[in-house]
Amino acid sequence: MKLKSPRKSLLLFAIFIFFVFLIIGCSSDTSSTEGEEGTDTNTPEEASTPQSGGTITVGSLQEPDTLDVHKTAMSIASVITNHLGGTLLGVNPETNELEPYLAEDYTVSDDGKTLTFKLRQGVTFTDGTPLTAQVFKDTFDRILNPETGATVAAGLVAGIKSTSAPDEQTFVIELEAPSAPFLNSLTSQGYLQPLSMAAIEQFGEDYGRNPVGAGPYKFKEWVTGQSVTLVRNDDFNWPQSSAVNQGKAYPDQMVYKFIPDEQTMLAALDSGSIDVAINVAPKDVQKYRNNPDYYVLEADRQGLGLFLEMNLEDELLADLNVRKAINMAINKDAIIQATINGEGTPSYGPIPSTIFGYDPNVESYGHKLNPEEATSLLESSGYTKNSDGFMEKDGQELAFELSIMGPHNQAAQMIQAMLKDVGINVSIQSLEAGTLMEQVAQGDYQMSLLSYSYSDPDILSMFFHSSQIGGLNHVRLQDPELDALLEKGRTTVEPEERKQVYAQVQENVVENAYWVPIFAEKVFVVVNSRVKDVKMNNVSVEFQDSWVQQ
Amino acid sequence: MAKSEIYKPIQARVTSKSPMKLRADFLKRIFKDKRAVVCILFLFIVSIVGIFAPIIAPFDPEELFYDSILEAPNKEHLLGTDAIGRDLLSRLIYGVRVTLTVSLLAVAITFFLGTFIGLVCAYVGGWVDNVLMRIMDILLALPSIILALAIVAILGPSLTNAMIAVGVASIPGFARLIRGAALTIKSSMFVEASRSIGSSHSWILRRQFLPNVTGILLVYTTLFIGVAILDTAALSFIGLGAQPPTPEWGTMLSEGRNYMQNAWWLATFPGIAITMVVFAVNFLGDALRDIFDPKSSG
Repeated sequence: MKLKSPRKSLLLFAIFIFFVFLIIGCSSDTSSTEGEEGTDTNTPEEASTPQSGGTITVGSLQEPDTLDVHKTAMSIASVITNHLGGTLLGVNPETNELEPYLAEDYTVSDDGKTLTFKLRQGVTFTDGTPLTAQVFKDTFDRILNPETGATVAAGLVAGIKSTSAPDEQTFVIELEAPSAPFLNSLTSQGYLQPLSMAAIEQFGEDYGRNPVGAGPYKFKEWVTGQSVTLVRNDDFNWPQSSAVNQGKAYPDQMVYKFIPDEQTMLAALDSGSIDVAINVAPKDVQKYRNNPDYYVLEADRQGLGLFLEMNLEDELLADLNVRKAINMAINKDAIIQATINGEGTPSYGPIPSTIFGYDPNVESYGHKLNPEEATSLLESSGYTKNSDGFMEKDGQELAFELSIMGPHNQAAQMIQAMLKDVGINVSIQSLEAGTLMEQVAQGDYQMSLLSYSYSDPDILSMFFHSSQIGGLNHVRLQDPELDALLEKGRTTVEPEERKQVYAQVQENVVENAYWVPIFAEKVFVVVNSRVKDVKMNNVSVEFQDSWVQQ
Repeated sequence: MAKSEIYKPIQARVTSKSPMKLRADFLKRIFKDKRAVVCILFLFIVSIVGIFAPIIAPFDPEELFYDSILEAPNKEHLLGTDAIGRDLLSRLIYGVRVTLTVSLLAVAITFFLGTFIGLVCAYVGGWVDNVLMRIMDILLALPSIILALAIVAILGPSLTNAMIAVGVASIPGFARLIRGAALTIKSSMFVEASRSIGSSHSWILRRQFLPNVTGILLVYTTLFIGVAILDTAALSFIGLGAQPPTPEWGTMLSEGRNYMQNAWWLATFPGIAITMVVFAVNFLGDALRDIFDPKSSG
């Protein structure tokens, strides 16, 4: 591009500007038609009889590291392997209660330490080997064997003393102490499915790319960076009891496509190259609600969508008044409006109402937005405003670094502005997810933003029990009183009594303001209407009844 | 702007005119070129806007308006608001400061170190030239943005480090150009004459080399400003440059990208701002090249 004449290049410049404004003009047209109010979730029309055949393609932002469920810590691996195998117990998508899956029945001994499962008969792995109690024992032994290097799976079976298989159909688990959350852990998607020992022996190190289970689908291929393809297991007739389809799955194939960018994922959904998009942001859901070609599934997250955690080993944050002031300075409703389009509820305690043991009283005693009191709390701790408008004590400014990962960027900037209003100077450090998790686990941070999902209040012992320092106890709390309460919560099986214990736990955590709980939100899945009957419970998306309109 | 054009060597002007006269001559020719004048005027206005940002901007760029989140351009917020309720126009205006300061400082780093290395290589020659230029060749093999990424990875993500990274990453290309131009001068008669009458090295470098590479320096410095703006924006775009809530154009573009479907203005206006400034700078560079190109001077 060599332009000799000045006039010619000026003309080009003008044309360029014109173009730019033309583009703006076009896009403003489209945006004005989209602003209508959303109606209720569309349900697929003309619910006719299910048809066999076709492929369901699911888009995922992440790609698993391995499909060996014992060795992965990535939720997408558990989502995919959930198609490859079943668990002892399932969760009913409507009632969220436990129901039989691979175990027909189970009993818990009076002391709560012995769990006996009676296994379903006639279940075989996709490589032809039969599923017996011995296989369950071998699978659990593999998780418990330190050489396996199990991560999440090991956490789920923590507390097991021993397992045994007295006969082919009976599997027994002995616990060290009664555990209320244990049965629920057994339903965990993918992680605790029985694995074909023959396949593990055959593939050795490569098992993670050649998984074999006893589920509705069998593994076909994994093209790195692109997709995982699963094909129907025609022998499958042992789904969990709440499924309408008690036989083999309808579609011929399930494909998981890996699309690392949200906007690209939505474009793929629009073009029809994927049928299901998981974890669609609330701001993007709106347009699919009004569109008959799609239907939207939603569920309340079991866990917190956002909370701020503070490191007690930091000398400034060791001051309870400072932590309380931070709690009172943050406007949760504004964050909900801005970051998730209002599709969530503010949280005042460490667990949301969707988790057992939630104490509604936190809404009254939890810290509310109150910048004036926040300021006076800081003043009572000896802080005064300096010339920059920030709080200061003995020449030391009240300044913190907030370590976050990319997706929390907006919330972090809002918190930065809100804390600035009460004189707290926050700088944001944006890190890659893996690095952030490592740093906060080591206590190498001041404040951080995270989210979590879990089905049982026992998650609080991971966050606040002194034995978990170096793990999820990022606040680095060592409180024998709270430790005792958390242990009691885990071993108390009687529901009402257990609720009481967790009410005390929540009060303790809120009073001491270790966290700023921010919100619990809805999780959205968007499905193309040509795929019928996709269901979602609080934990997972269910495809057993799903079929493709040909 | 094709990259190859930047590196195309320009024949040095060997002139006997005094530097003073030369400067006046340059200015005259620049003001004769309408293209250059328009671009300079545009950049001047942009700079003024940046300098007087606190007066011109309607709002504080970091202030959150909770009740006007993601508002399309309207009377109160002329360019709309972003996802957390900040006024986009104010952020763009303050962003001028960040963008211009960073790119100018980055270019200053390139300019001084690049010129220094280029002149030394050409003048000293021998093994010094060989060693330095081989290092430059190795660095040149990497695209400047990759080099900048590596530097930021070592120094850590911040605006200052992004500036250093962008500046340092452009040095090899710059040094090579200056060396090429200086080599031509080195072999010219007047340098040989100065040497033979015993002029000092520094005198020759200052009085004979520098004035003769001024033209090239000016052209390429201008062009590098465009590259620096883009590279800084690119680093900020992927989160390695300006840290929030700094109103930097690249960061704003990146934040707006996720809202392409529901809030077009978020990515569009920073995008236009970057494009227009880079466009103007590049046009100015092109114009300057034509002006200094001895073949086109009439």
